[in-house]
Parts: sequence; structure tokens; C-alpha cells
Amino acid sequence: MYEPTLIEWNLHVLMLNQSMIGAVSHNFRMVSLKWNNEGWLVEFVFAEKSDEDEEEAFEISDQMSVFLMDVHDQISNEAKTKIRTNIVYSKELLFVKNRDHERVVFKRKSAK
Amino acid sequence: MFRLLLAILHKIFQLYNSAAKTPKLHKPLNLFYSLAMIQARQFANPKELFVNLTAIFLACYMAIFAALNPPRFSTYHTDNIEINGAISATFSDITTGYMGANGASDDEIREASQIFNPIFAAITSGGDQSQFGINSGLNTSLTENNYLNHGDVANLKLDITSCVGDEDCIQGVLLEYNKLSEDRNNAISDCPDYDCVLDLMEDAATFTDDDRAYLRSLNRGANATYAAFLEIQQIDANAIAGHQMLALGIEDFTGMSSEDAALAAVVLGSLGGDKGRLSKTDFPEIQAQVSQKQNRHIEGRPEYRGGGTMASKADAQEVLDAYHSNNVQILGKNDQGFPVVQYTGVTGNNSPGAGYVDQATNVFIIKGTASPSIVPTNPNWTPK
Repeated sequence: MYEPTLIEWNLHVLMLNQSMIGAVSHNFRMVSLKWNNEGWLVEFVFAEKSDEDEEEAFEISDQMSVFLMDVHDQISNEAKTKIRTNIVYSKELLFVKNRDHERVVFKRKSAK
Repeated sequence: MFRLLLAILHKIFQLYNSAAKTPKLHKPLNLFYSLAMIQARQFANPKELFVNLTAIFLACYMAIFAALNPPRFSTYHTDNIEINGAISATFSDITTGYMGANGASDDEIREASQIFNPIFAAITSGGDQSQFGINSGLNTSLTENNYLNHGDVANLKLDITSCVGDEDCIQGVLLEYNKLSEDRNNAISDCPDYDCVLDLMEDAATFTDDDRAYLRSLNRGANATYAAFLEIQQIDANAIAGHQMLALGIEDFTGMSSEDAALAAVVLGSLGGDKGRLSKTDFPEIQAQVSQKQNRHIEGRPEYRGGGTMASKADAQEVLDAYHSNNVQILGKNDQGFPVVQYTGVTGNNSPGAGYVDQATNVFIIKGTASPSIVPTNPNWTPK
């Protein structure tokens, strides 16, 4: 499996962050960027089901791909993949863990 | 008098050039003119010119096809690629063969051939007249084809099957066949003549949809190498479809035989006339009206969230209308599969909001299908 470089990770995190501006509702609990055999994956954890937020999640991934077009010359062909979107609903406690192929980009403050 | 008329024509064209403000029209027309003028100057009088008119017209017609894809055309121009002797010889063979079949004498064909060689060389160098006469080195676009032959495809399936699902083994096989494909293309590029190209292209094969489904079934956890391999084969399939369309056009327009037209199309396609070129039919149906989401990309709107902006919703609609009426140039698709188009009738502002300066741009992404919006993007974007 190809391992994205540090620059590729950073550019993808930055563009994901930019894409989320104005799109995050109170329903968003966590957003993370992952890399696996099939390429980039943005995972959204929502507190409860919402069609509007689901649509927003896909919009964020699409907008991220648009931003990445401006830095396409700094990204290898192996790291130029479709950005997939995964949506999870959970009210459980969420933990941020240091993983090789995952970066958490947003996490809402947990209720005590 | 004849030369004087040519000189006057040249002056008129120079004046046109200095006044021209539409790059899309400017570049191919410039190349067409240059080729026509260079050929015309070879003749002492209008009668000689007229005798060779068919072949001249055919040459210019081919040149325009080669030039109608500005991104690739620019690449040839700026990269200053060495001229491909095999390709220019092939062009010349096609054209002089056509002349012979239409009653031209050996002397006429020989003379035309002497004219065509530098012209076709110029085509492969992006129309740069300073490159005329350079005809060495075999290092250009034919190497970008990735055809495996039918036997290769059959063996590839067997080899993958013998891996019994071992991912490392499958990846090794794919790399091996990519190398085979590359070697084969290098062989095509090294061809000294047209017959050699023909022989190598004759049994070229690409994967069918069934082949792809089969490969996917063997390797569910598709890795980047595997994905890239499939993508290459898909591009080739698109190129072949493009060649077929082009061949029909050449046949209708020139009266060439089907066989000659098909061969001309293969060569023209490899020069950038149609290889990998996408059309509207390559994308899902897109609604005719821009959606409310367009406001996210309009200057001054409260919905704006950063990134590229259009001056108005009307501008965005104009780009979408142009897409639907086939008045845009489709440059390719982005990683999400959205069409990336160039439309000179509207100027947007590319402003990614990540530390880059604002850029005027005529390149746009058509984002979404049921609720489309037009997003300006990098004016220098090219397909990967």
C-alpha cells in the first residue's frame, strides 16, 4: 500500500479543514481523515440522523477535492484518489487515538 | 504576382494576429495558416499550387485535428519534445498514398513528400517552425499508449489466478504487465516506418468490462497500483472509441478508404487529436439549472464559505448552458469525477483560501448532478 508523504497528509488535512468552514452544525461530533487501500476517506460522526448534515458531509468531501486541484502538482498520482465519505451515528464516548493512517480534523467537546 | 499575393495575405494575417483576442481560435488558426503558407511558398505559380491542392488541404486538415486539443498541444509546445521520425513518416505515407490512389504522378508524390515531412515534424513539435528539419529521436506520444495484445491479457488472467489471492503476488503480476505494456509502446515508438507501427498496433487489446469485473473479483482490496493499472486501460478504451469517431470523420471528409482513414485516426489520436479526450457523454446527466448551492460560490453572498467565486449566478448559469450546448472545452475530470471545463465567455475568481493569491480563471468545475453548481478552479489545471 502506498504511504502518503507528510506533505500529502498536511495538504489533505488543510483542504478538509477549509472545506468545513460554514458547514459544521451542532450535530457534528468528529471528523477524521483516513487513508487505506482504496485511498482517502473522510469519516463523519454525527450525534443523530440528519439528511441535511449527510448532504453537507458529501459536499465537504467534494469541496475538498476542488481545493486540492490547486495543489495537484504537489501530490503524487498514487495519492490522487477519489475522496470517499463515511457517515457514522454515535452517542458513545469518542476517543482520539494516534494512528498511522488517520488524522482527526475536528472534534466537538465531549459532555461530562 | 503569385508571391506578391502571398505576401499580402501574410500581412493581413499578421494584422489579424495582433488584433485577435480569443486564444482558442487564435492558436489552431495560426498553425493552420503557418502550414498552408509554408506549403504555398513551395510553388512558383497558382497552377502548381492547384495541382497539389488536395494533398495540401489534407495536410492542413490533419494539422487542425492535431491542434484542436489545446492542453496537449501546449504540452508539446512547451516541453519541446524531440520530433518523432516514425510519426512524421507515417503521416507522409498516408498522404502520399492518398495522392497516388487519386492519380498523382510519382514525381508529384515525391515532391509532396518532401514538403510534408517537415510539416508533419512541425505538427509533432506543436507547430513550432523553428523545429523544422529536426527529425531525429523517437520520444513522443506513441509511448503514452498502453496496449497489451490479446495474448498478454489472457496470460495476465492466468498469472493472477495462479496467485490464489496473494496480494503481493497479484501486485507483482500487475507491475510485470505494466512493464510489458511499456516495452511494447517503446517498440511502437522505435518503429522506423509505417508498416512496423501497423504490425504492432494490429493485435492491440484493451480490457473489456468483463475483464475488469474479473480482475476486481480477484482483488477486492484494490490497491493504488491496481487502481492505476485499471485506469490506464480505461483511458486506452476511451482513446480507441475516439479513434473510431475520428476515422469516420476522415473517411467522410476526404474520401479515403475505411482502412486508411482508420490508420490516419490512430496516428492523429496519438498526436493529441483525441487521445483520452472526454465528452459530455462520459459524465452523468447534469440538471440544466444551477442550484441554490451556487450561492456558496458567489461574491458577497452570506452563504459564501471561502474558495473560488463567480461574479453572479447568471455567470454560473452561462457556463452551465455552454456545457449543455457543447460550447465548452472539457479538459478532464477531477478526482471526484466532476467535469472540469474551460469556457472563455465567463471569468471567475479562483481563491482557494489556503494561502494562495486570487487568480482570474476560465476553468470551472461542474460540481454535482441533481443540484449542480459552478466552481472556478486553477486556471493551470491539467488532467493528472
